[in-house]
Formats: sequence, C-alpha cells, structure tokens
Amino acid sequence: MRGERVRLVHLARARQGLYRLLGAVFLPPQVESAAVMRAAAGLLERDLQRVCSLSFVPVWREFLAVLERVPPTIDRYLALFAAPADAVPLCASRYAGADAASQAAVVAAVQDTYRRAGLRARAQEPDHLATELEFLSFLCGQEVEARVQRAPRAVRDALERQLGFLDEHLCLWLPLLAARLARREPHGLYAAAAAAAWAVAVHDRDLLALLIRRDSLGVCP
Amino acid sequence: MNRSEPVVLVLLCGDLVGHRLDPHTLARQVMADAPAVTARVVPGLCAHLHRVTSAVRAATPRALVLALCERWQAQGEPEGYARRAGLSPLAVQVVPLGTLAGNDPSPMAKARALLSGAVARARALPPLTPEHIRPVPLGRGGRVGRRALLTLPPLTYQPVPVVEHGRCAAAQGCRICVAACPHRALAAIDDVVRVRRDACTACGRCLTACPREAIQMPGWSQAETAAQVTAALTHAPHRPLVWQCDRRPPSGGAWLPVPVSCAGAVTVAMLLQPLLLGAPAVALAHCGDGCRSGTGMAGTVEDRVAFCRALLAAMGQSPERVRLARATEELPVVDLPPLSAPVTPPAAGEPEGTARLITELVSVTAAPPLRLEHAASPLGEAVVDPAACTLCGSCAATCPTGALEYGEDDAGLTLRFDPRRCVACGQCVPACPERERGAIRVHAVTDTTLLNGGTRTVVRDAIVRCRRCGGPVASQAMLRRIADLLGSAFRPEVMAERCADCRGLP
Repeated sequence: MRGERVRLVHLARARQGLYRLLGAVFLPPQVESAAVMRAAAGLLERDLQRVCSLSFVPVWREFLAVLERVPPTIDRYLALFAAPADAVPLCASRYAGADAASQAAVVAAVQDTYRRAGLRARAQEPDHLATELEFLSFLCGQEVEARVQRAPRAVRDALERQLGFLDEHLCLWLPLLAARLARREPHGLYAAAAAAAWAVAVHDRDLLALLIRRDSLGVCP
Repeated sequence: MNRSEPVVLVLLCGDLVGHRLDPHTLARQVMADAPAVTARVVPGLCAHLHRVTSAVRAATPRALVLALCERWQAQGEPEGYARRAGLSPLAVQVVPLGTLAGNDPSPMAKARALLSGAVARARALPPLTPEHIRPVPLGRGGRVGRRALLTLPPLTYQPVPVVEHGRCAAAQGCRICVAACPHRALAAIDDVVRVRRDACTACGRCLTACPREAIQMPGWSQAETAAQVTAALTHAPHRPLVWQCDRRPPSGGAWLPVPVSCAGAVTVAMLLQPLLLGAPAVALAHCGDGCRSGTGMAGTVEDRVAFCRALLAAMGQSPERVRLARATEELPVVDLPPLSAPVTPPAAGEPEGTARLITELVSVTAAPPLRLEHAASPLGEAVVDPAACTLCGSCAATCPTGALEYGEDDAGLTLRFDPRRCVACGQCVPACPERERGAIRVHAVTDTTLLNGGTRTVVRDAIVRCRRCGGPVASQAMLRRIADLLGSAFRPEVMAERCADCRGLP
C-alpha cells in the first residue's frame, strides 16, 4: 500500500516520544502539565502521521482528545492514585499478588533490568508506571541511536531489550491497570492514557518480535 | 438513529454494475434490512481503494463492509485504508460480491443475502482490546534486502485468541484447547492457559474446541458467524450454505459462502445449524495440503463431516445434506428440499447447544430415537460403575462442562450426569482413582434417548458420619474400598467413625 514504507528510525523516535509522554501523564500533575503534554503531542504528530495505519494510533488519538477535554489535575490524581481506601496502584508489584515476597520479587526484577541497561532507579518506586514507561523510552532512544549509526548488532540488542522488558514487565500488569482505571473512570484522562499505553505496548511487543525474527532470518516471517 | 447502536458502514463499488448487480438497489436494501447501517455506492471503488479512508473518516463507523467486484489479492490492503481512518483491522470485512453473486441466476438475491450476512457479522463484533490483534507482514516468505531492513514491512493484522481466565477450566485440569492447537501456541503454565502470540496463526480451532467459551477471538467468534449465517439464510432461505476456509478462493454457484478462519474450526454444531435455518445442504470447504493448521486438519474435518452424514442417515435423511469440498473441488448443484421450515436453532457455542440442536433436528424430521457411536461425536456418555465408584468426586471436579456433578443431600452423596453437557473429552477418566477397576468410561456417542432424559443420578450412597460431631467421614463405598485395600490393618474406630475435622476429640 502506498505510503506505508516507514523508516524504522522514525518509528523508533515516535515510540520514544509516546512512551515518554505517557509516562509523564502518570506523574503528579503540575499547573503547566496539560500545556506541556499537548505541545509534546503536537511534536509527535509528524512522526505518527507516517504510521497512522498502525492499530494503536486510534487509541492514542482518543487519549489526545480526552487530554484536550480533561486536563490533568492534582485533585483527580490524588483521588485516583493516593486515596487511602480504594487507590488504583500505579506500581507493578501491587499487581503481583498480596504477599510481600512476590511484590519484592517484582521490584528486584525490574531493578535488575535497569541495572543491566546501565541505569539505577533513584525513584522510590522503581516499578512505578511512569518509571517503567520512561525506561522504555530510554530503550527506544538507544534503538534510534543505533539505527542512526547503522549498527545492526546494537539495533538487535536494543530491540531485544525492549521486547524483554515488555514481555517480562509492562505487558503483564498494564492490562490489569487499564481495566481498573476503565472501571473507575471510564471517560477519564487516566483511563484513556492507560488504554493508550496498553495499546502501544502490546503492539510494540508483537512488532518487535516480528522485526527481530525478520532481521535474524533475513526473510519476512 | 440511536447512536448507542453499533454503526456499520457498507461501501459498494459502483463497478458492480458490470457484474449484473445494481449497487444502488443493494445499498437501499441493506439499509432497510438492519438498523444503524449506512450504505454508500462509491464509483470505481475497486480501482481507487484509497477512497475508503475518506469515507470512513466521514462516517466514523464501528465496522466496515466493503462490497468489491473481485477478491482482493493482497487481502490486507483494503483493510489498511480503513485503518488509516482509525478503524480496527478486525472491524473490516471484504465481500467480493461480483465474483460471488455475478454468475448466479438470481444475482441480486444472493448479493443481498451475502451483504446482510456480512452486516450482521459486523454488528455482532464484540468489544476489542489491544490484545485481540497482532501485526503480521502483508505477504509472507519473501527474502528481505538490506534496504528493506531499514523500513517497516507492510503490515496487516490478525486476531489473537485471548483466554478469559474467569471462565477457563484449566485449574480443573482441562486442556482441550491446548490439545486442539496445531501450532502449540497454547500452553498451560501453573494451571493457567497462556497464548504464545507469535506462534498463533489465528486458525480458531481453540476457540470452537473450548466447551466453556472461555476463548475470545473477535473477528471469528461463534457469535459473529452465527449472526452471519442467520441473516444470510433469512434472505435466502433455500440456498445451500458453505463454510469456507478464508484462504480458499470463494465458492460460486448457488452456495452461500460463509468464511471461517480454518475449516478445522467448524464444529459439528456449526455444520448442522444451517439445516434448521432452512438451508437444504451444508458444505465444508477446506484449503487443502497447504493448510496452515497442518496435516491434522483434513482428518478432523473429514471425521466431523462423516459424523454429520451418519447422523442424517440415522434420521432417515439424505447424507448428501452435509458434504466436504476438498481443496479444488467444485460444489455440485443441490437438488434437495429444505429439511423443514426454518426454526430458531440454539446458539452453537453454548454448553448444551449441540445437544439441543440434535434433539431439534430429530424433532423436525420426526426421526425415531437414535444412538450413534462415532469418534467425532460432539457428545458423550460417561458410564459409571456403581460397584467400583467410591464417590470421591474427582471426576466431577475435573469435568470442564459440569456434565458430572457431585453433591450431597439428606439421603447421602450423589454423582449426577447430564448427557447434554458431556463433550466426550474424557478428562474425567484419568482423574478417577478407580479407573483401573473400570469405575468410569466415556463413550463418544450421540443418544437422543439419553439427551431427552436429562440429568440423572448415576451413583448414590449413604454418608458415614462422625460419631462425635456428625460431620461427614466418607461414603460407605469409599470405606469399603479402604477396608478392602488395608485388609486387617483397617481400623473402623479410627477411620470410619471419626471425621477429619474433629478427629473424634472433645
């Protein structure tokens, strides 16, 4: 189909921006957050135009439409994620089961992943959604760099690191978070953002697996 | 128009005129046949597929049906233009109306039935989540040059089955879907069925194999295909219907083609259901040796068709009402009257649907009671030997459909069997600790007398109760069996008179 030959470096750059922006949504909002997010989304739009037929794009656009209507507020954020009674947890470990050992194992695993990528999470909660999305953005950045430098081995490593992180961390609990937020505030900003993050992550996971197989086999799988 | 209803957009190519079809009349008909449908004729749509994008942007439908002149070679391409406008890939159907209806003696009637079916299918599309689809390359197998490695390959999307864990019986030991998958794309890990997305080819065999409808695969769900069949046969009640592998070139002639993800996903119930809706015959057309589901597919579908033919013969009906069309085989002209006036059949996917379907067929054909033992029988009979059964309840605990039910009432312990729910999976047999004594056997059999008899008690026994607290100790049969096994070591005052809860202690 015409126009579908997208350079993978552009796609990686778009994904880098998507993850960074989505990660920022799940941080406590500041006064200027909405304006900054809208501006960032505008910058991303050019790269996304090239890949508008990918299946996550409508969900992303739906999130942008909600962002236009419903700016993030600290009151809403606290009510959803910090209410003492029925807060929606934003940390992966809270979805790993009730026992402390399982939760600690999740935190340790994610910290180990950061360490292997040469990073150390300074955040109190290394398994927080914003941190995990920011980390994915970082991995996409590595892919962009490797593609710009035409370094196939580095590209392959970056793809595998992204796939591993999605498989072992984000894709395991993001659907649960998205479902909880959809129940709590079906038309809210955070539900739309979680739905967009889920759509991007699942699509990425499948696309990365496809690209890795294609690159290693030399044929379209 | 009620905006809460799913809106289906139908785009008809204006060049259908060249195939003896009037697209404007079809557009009017399809809008009259179902609510919340918008139909438009687009001049030269087949030659200018990019017009799909603007049409979808303007209408913002939930689903799209494209009525084109011929089958599109690159099947993902029409869908790609709809995706650009934000439509889910699973919400797009392409009906090659010119090829399918153009040569028919009544082309407009057939085209209307096909379009109505496609619209009904689109309306039945369940809610989608990101996990329901995955990108796959458009066109497979070609070598990739170095330059191509720098770009995104042209993509299309295929559905992926998603297991609804709340419904799944994997924790009870059910592995029917795992066994049904020819690609080992399903695996039970820690009693939870997981889908290996990269290995799945969306053949849908797990979907129809699951007796609890715990697997969702929008695009090919049984609810969607059932809606399509019902709508198509409503508008063309006396036409034969062919379940057709999506990879096979569409069948022409009088037959109404209904696409399926794989012929191996077509169940006995799906083969029989159209007969109750007025179709005089049903065919199953598979794609042949190049089948993505491997060599096992042909054997599976042949067995199912053979069962249906044997069932029809036992009913005194022509077995030719159900037939198999191998890879390149043409479907013959059917000269059979409908089995009966159309009746509303039970849904094919529901637990007792197959049993109700068969009893309904026997009823409308006024056939005598029948018993058909056949390896492909979708129903079964669990035969329990009361002399060997100890009423431990393991069989009922593992039964994925609830055909075996273990209970306790005032009179004692009971094991009940509902033949309408038994799918002859046989999972109860290895679960039985007394299987070597023949306590339980499962026959793949369709027996209408059994089906009409409903649930019956197959074993009943008294409960021995704790002398101190009155709590249950075990069934009498269980204690007899323990006594047999232990011989002189059996101590009734310890084992038969005290329950595990209080152990007879004050």
